[in-house]
Amino acid sequence: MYDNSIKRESSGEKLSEEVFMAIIETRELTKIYTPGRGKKVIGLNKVNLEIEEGEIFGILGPNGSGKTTCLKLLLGILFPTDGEISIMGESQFDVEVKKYIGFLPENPYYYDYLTGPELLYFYGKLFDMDKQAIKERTEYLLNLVKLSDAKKLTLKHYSKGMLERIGLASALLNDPKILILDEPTTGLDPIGCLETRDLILELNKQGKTILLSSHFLSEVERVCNRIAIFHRGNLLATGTLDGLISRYNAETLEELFVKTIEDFDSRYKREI
Amino acid sequence: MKKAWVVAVNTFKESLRKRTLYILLVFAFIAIGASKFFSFLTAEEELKMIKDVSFSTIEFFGALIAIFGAIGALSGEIEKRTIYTLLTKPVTRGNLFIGKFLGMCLILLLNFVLISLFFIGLLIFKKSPPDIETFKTLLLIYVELVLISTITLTVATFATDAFNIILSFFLYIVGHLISYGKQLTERVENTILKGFGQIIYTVIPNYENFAIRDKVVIGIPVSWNYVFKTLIYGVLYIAIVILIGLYFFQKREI
Amino acid sequence: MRKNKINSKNWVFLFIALLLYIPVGFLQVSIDYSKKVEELESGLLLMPGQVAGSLVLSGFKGLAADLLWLNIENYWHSGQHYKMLPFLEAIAWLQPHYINVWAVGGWHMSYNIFAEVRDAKQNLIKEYKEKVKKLSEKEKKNLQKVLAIGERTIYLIKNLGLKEGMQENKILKLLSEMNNYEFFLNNYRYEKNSKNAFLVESDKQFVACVKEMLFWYTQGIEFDKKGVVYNSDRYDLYFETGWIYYHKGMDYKNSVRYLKKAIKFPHPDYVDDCLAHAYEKNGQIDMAIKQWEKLLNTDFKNIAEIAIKELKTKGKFSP
Repeated sequence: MYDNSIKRESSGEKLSEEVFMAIIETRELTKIYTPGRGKKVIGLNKVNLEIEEGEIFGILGPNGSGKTTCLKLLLGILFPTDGEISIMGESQFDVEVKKYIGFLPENPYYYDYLTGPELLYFYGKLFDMDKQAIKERTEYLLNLVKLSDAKKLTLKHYSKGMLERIGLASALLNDPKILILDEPTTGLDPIGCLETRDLILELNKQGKTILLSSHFLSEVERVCNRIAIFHRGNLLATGTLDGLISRYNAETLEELFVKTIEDFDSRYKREI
Repeated sequence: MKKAWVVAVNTFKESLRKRTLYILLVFAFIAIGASKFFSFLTAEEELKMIKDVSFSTIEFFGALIAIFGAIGALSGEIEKRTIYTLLTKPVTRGNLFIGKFLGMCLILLLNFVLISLFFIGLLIFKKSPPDIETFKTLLLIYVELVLISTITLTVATFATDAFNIILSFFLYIVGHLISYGKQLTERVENTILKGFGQIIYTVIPNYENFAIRDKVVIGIPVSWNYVFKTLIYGVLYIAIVILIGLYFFQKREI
Repeated sequence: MRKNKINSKNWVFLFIALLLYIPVGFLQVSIDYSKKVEELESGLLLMPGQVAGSLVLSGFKGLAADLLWLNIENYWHSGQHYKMLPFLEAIAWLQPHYINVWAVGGWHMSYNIFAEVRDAKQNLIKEYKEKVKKLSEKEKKNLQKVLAIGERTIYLIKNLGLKEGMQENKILKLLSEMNNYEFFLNNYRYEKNSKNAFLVESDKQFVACVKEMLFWYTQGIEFDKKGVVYNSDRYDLYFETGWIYYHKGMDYKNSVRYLKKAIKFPHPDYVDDCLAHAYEKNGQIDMAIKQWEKLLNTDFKNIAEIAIKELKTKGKFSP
């Protein structure tokens, strides 16, 4: 339970009635894009999410459903039009909270001109880690992602797979409590997928909360405790896989997926 | 602030390793070196030639490095999306922006020092070691370059690269001519226009303040009083531009 | 309290930025004042043409001036003095505080071009004199006026700036004289290809030459005076002007006028020396002595002592 009441009491501020249970929570989170000329596009529409500590949570949906928007809002890269976000009881912009978060973006974007260890050193300094800690952690992580041999290579010469791996390493640099992965298996071969899956499970065993987004149903199936289904900016359903399957009377995840979307399309029009 | 320095050093490293600004540096060296070849002038005239060319080169190529460096530092980061990973780290946007600013100061300092050393070396070779006036001129040029760069950096927080380049160069030219514009407004009768002119005059950076090289090269000394005033002007103006940049960067969605 | 806005106090940045413009504005005023005081810009005297030119070359004036100077050097070394002038004008226009340009320009006009104009006529003068020698007495009598003009103008060509001064009122008289000659010569009837033709045409050229010499002398002085306007707070161009008046024009009254202004600013001793001579030539012996006395503590000590002595006893010292 994440409760700000103790903090606030000691600082003399008024007690709020809101208390957040989950490690990540959103309330009526809305994002409306205005690309111009009066047009409005719904990125997210009143999304309510609760992600418990220690679980692996998957966000599913086709492209353009708002998965990435949701993650960007949680990370403070985009600003919500309405609604609230709480991460460990604090706002998504709180700098202290970011120390507990690790993020792996969908396509790896890193500094061409740095080597792997240099990149980790740079990020490490931003985490206020001292030199020794960074060094040790770098060794460990490069081993973990199997990039120890490429220490002297600059990122310009990395293959896509290698970039994914160094990305993972930098996401894990600060040993985060919360790991956010945007489409972690995109572009990976089956072995890569397997390895990633195993790694996610392993990290979860260590107590990390993992939030991942994907449109690979099979991957999500094998890894996640709970899922959320997104479609056109709306949260269609959340819950455990089994629970959802029985609720919607589907036999497989695919069927569940299709059913929920059809259900939504028939019942709701997009309104602004 | 510590984190701002981390970002600054990273920005500086990027510029060093990327070598994109090197070509400007090379051109600067060529330009200054070429001034040596007018040896059929009298010694005094040749010296004046070298000084004129060198100061002009340092300022002009310095301005190019300032503008393109700043664009690379911030817009490059945004375009290549490396800024996503940065924003998810425990570093405030303010620190990020200031870090970029400090990084540009370092980049400019390095290039500036290199070109200046070459220039000074040439002067010593011509048996006319640089005097305090030369250093005053160089100091003011450096501050001017930092100002130019900071403006480009701030504009990068809300505009596209193309717009930024055009605006930066436009301000560079206008900033030099603004003194003449002011003299024109002095002769205007209409008080509203005059007031408007005054405002524009204050708002647009007056790069001519930093241009004491014309007098120095002819041998007219410039007082420390003037140099200090101009330095403070520069620092205040840089502060203004940074604040504006911070404002826009805080609001920026990527 | 949770802040779901990144920075609700963001506007503070803009507010402070705007506030800072106030001291910036004041500073700019102060800097502008300093610029005027230290003559870091010739703002007050910029004519529209110069503004336009400066707009084009702003920031690179020095460079442009240098490149123009290269041309001047070329023309000087190849003897094409006239061609130097537009470049001198241009440089003076770009960098009005560059003393050398004014000084050199004035010198070129009053001395070099002046001399060149004179020298160009030497061959003609020689030929003319030979032809005159071969004239019979009768012919000489017929061509009396023509020959008189020739003689007078040749004398002037040879001696202007040396034995003959070019004081202000004298210049006016000479010009008037030349105009009369011109009028006469233009109305003089002669047969083509005769000896007379050659003599008359040569006379016309001599008259034109005298006028031109006077022109270039005055041009040089005017150029230096223009320079004085832009650099009125240093000795240099007052001195240059005073010197040309003294040396070329033998116009001691004006020479004293300008040299007196020159000594009001920091100046080297030779300026005082010059003024002393000028006072003497201008008939102000007492002032001359006072001036020499000023030089008793300088490198000019010896000559000053002699000068004072000579002036007190003989009332004359300068050659």
